[in-house]
Amino acid sequence: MTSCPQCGSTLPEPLPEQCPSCGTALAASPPPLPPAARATDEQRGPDERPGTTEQRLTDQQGPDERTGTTDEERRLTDEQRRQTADHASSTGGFTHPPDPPRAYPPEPPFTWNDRARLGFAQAFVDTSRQVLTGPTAFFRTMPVTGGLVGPLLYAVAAGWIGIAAAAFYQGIWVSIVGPTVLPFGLDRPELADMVGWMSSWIGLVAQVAFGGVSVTIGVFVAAGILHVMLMILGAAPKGFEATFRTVCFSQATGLLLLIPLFLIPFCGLVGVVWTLVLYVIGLAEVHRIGYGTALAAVLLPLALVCCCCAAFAFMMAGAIAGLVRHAV
Amino acid sequence: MSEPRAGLEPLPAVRFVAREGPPLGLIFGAIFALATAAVGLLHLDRLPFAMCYLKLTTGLPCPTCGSTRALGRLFALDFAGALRMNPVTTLGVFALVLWAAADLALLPQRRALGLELNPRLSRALRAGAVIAVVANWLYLVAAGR
Repeated sequence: MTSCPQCGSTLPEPLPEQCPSCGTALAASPPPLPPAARATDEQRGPDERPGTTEQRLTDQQGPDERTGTTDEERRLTDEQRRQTADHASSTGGFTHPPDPPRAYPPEPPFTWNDRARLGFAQAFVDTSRQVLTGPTAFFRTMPVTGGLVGPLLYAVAAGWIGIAAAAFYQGIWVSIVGPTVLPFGLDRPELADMVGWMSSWIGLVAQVAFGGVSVTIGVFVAAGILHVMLMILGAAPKGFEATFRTVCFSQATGLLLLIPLFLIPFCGLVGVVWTLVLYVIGLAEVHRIGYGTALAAVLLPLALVCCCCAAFAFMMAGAIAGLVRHAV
Repeated sequence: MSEPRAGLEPLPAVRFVAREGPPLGLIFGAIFALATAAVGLLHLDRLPFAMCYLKLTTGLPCPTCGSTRALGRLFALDFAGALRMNPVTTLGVFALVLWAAADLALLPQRRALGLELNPRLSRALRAGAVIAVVANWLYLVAAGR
């Protein structure tokens, strides 16, 4: 249906030479344009522009002091208007209506943040399953802000469950087989005494009692070391909290210790490697860096400092064991 | 050299800000204080054997060898001795103490110390950190740690 560009009345088909209402010559009239195109300055004469002569002169000469619009910006705006007018002309005055806003399904909340509604146990199980089975998707959708307490709570829960399970199985193993054999270089009587104490039931109770504290210190130290490595590599754009959250949720591998290690050979080694893999995936996803850079950030500390960190932890445990034994 | 545009101040090389967020300096300071106290009270720096796998297998110290002994010296307030044991670790602890003190001062305002560096200084610091670790390791090798 076509309407008269002058008076707006509906025109019959076929199109007459003149508008029956106002008599405007229709053959010479350009097709009706959208409002934006009709308002184009190029289609109007200089005298038809709104505003006073002084304002028009200002518009023509330089930057508009009222709006701060420069000649370049105005030229671009006019270019856009011209394109809109050309498009409207080529389509007989009709432009494609704007696409309606798409109705995306609402994004589900991050499971661990939704634990008030789901319940702690359900949120813990769901989060652990997501971390262990789909770490890329998990870390990609993980919020990188919101505080340290929530992720730390998850890390302590997962780590403590792992420590308690490992201590329990170790106690059973030692009571059946005997003390663990220390690896090369550490087969000294002092350390054998320490490992023997840690494997005893008193030591196991101590491990469980202080498990939460050791996990808390461990995740902070691990996150600190990893973040320093990322900063040295120039790959920590999201800040410490992102690294800390990655380390915390990677503690999900602590649940692997629920599997009796003496039943499945190398299960402990698998857990360690899996943790490192989660670190790499998590750091790459949360900081939006390459996997090579994330791998370097994870492996460099192992080469540089982790042996000493492990040694320090060992020594502390040994010294505490010695103290407790003397006290008892 | 071009003149800076009016209204745009050149970025300072270093800027300390009181930011929102957890007091990381205080947290790490507390962990290091705990570690230092453990080393000093339990005499972990006087064990008659090494537990560094690199040292055990190659005879060479790793870049953090001597850190436990440095913490032991710090616990005894022997700063020169700590620097001799592992300079980078000792300087890192000093920096951490200052960071923790600043966080402690800002704690009543629920703020923490933040550090903003311009990109050039940030790159220079990264390169400096690598050089410091390598130089520290060469010193440890030479000193027979």
